[in-house]
Amino acid sequence: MDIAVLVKQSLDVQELRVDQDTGKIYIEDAPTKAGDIELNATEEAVRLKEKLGDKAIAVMLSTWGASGKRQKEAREALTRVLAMGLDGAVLIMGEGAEKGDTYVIARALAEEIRGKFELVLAAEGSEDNFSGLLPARLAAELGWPYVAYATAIEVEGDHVKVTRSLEDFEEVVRVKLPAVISVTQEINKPRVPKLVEIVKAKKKPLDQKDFSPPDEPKLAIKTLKVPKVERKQIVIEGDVEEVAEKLVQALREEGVL
Amino acid sequence: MADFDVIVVGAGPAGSVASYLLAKEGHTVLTVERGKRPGAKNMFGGRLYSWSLEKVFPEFWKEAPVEREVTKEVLGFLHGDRGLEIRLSARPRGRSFTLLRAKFDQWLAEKAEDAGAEVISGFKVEGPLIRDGRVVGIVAEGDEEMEAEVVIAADGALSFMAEKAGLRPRLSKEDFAVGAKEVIELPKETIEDRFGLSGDEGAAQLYVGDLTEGVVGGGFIYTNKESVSVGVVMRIGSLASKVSKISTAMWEITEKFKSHPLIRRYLEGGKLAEYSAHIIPETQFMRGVRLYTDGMVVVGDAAGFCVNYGVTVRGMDFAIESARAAAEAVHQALESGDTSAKSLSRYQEILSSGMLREFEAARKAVDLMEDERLYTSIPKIAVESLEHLFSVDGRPRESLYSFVRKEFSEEGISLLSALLLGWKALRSM
Repeated sequence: MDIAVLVKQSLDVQELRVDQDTGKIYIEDAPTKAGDIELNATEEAVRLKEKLGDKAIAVMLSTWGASGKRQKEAREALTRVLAMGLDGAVLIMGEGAEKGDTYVIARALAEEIRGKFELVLAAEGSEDNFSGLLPARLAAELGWPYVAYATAIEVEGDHVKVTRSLEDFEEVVRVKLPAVISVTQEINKPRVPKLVEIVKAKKKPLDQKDFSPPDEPKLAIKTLKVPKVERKQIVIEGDVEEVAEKLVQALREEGVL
Repeated sequence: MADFDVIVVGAGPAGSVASYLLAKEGHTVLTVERGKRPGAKNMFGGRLYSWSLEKVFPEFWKEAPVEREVTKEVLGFLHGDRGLEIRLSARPRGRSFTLLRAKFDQWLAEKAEDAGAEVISGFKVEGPLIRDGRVVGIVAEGDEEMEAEVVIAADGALSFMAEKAGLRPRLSKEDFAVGAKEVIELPKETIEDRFGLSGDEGAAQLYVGDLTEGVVGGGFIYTNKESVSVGVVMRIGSLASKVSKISTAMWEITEKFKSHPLIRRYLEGGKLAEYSAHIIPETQFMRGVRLYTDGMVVVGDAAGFCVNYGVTVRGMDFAIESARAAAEAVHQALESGDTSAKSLSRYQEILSSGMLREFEAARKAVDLMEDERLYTSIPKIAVESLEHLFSVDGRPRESLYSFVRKEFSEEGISLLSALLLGWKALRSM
């Protein structure tokens, strides 16, 4: 039973620069990386495959066009997860991918996954957008069951038992493979690869394929801006008691308290 | 057998150049960088003298991400809100370029990678792996050992590699300066207007004066394509004796420099894009740093190859030259199968016939630069003397000579010591 781990080439949001005056986000300047929760998905895939003795492969569909810089970053992100113990990686990249919406990406990924894998592991949400839509959409394209927010996964023959963490309770479900499962950060603690594993990871098979759009996107982003937060800029002066009283009053007026 | 022929610690200019040259010779090279990416942690004022990199990549500026070629040199004296700028519009021998390290260091590291070196970023090296008194590899984070025939320590100013291998003593604050820098974005045209540049021309401007309040150091501005790098560099020893908290003082002095009327007009309307601070080795090469031991050599800032002549501040060009020399020595050592200290001493031999001579000269300049009068009295006298010269108010005027003499005596500098200072300056620069 081969496992696919979905790894997104996410923006490193910590390094995202924003023009405070215009709200413009310098997306092209920001580096990209594999998302943190995808490291949890990778860890889970490696644990499962160690038990089951099958292959676990990272699948990345880069939505950054075909620039050299993004290609290098994509390969670095894949090296990171390969170093954790995956057996290989597939990188789908090319012109037109940047226009893809979740629907297009899910369809393209389904084409890659169908017939090759029986279990798909993904993060509950990506590092940058965190819409959490893709795994569900992919499951729909594949016609497979989808289990979200997994905190534990056990394989039982041709079934998997998944513990799901929901708001007020925990749910244990059993699904027949093939299936798509999204994991949360609680599921495990991703291993930190050693230097020698990173060196070896660079030599693992990385299959790069050209992206060919399976369909027209249904959704297009028109603008992307940081919302302007207007500060009230109220300064309260006076002695401590006065200030406290006025502050409480002001907070009440704003409906904060 | 070792895991690699060579492990290079640090992917700054020295590390990447050494990696590139050795990988090109067909050796297996692993380069380990602690920053997220090569260049992510690195900083300098803003200018690279090209002589040494040209030997490795002839006409590298045609391909490398450089910003502007420096054609305007400015030396400035600031006193109060007044200032004097000496502007040289010429092309001194040897080219120099302004550049931004995040981009440039990445380019150099890619060169090393393309030549076959394994460059791994975001990984910390704890120190050299030492067996029977000999460096045989590195210890990476998590106590992981990795062996190499030769280790090249290119891990920067604070080099723990050199220290742990016993190649340099624990350094004191006297051995370092600290630099703070801001990158301020401005439209290309605005930069060219304000600095009197055209096309890809660039300016390098250095300032001394009372802004550092008597601390040994000064301010700088370098023009990039669409930004300027502006900041201050100060001797830590000198700074620590005068202020209680170095970080606050650095920030205050940077702000003061930026708001000086002479400096402000260069920066007006600009947008702060980046802020950084870094430690700079100042005199350590002269303080008992050894460059090689059995199985290891030290290059670049790690060896203290950094020099401040006052009007020229250099580090990156020396780092590259030292890496080139080290690569040559390491290559020969690997070919001969002898990587002992004796074999690696070739590294110092190569440097001795070239770069190290400049360091002898630099030592004299560094001594001169210690003179605090250069940062207080001299800028004041320069500014006020010229102010006097250009003053017309209808009253009979004192001669420039007697004015300057008075200025010197106000500063408590005798004519003889002024002459001596001048003589020292002429001899050492």
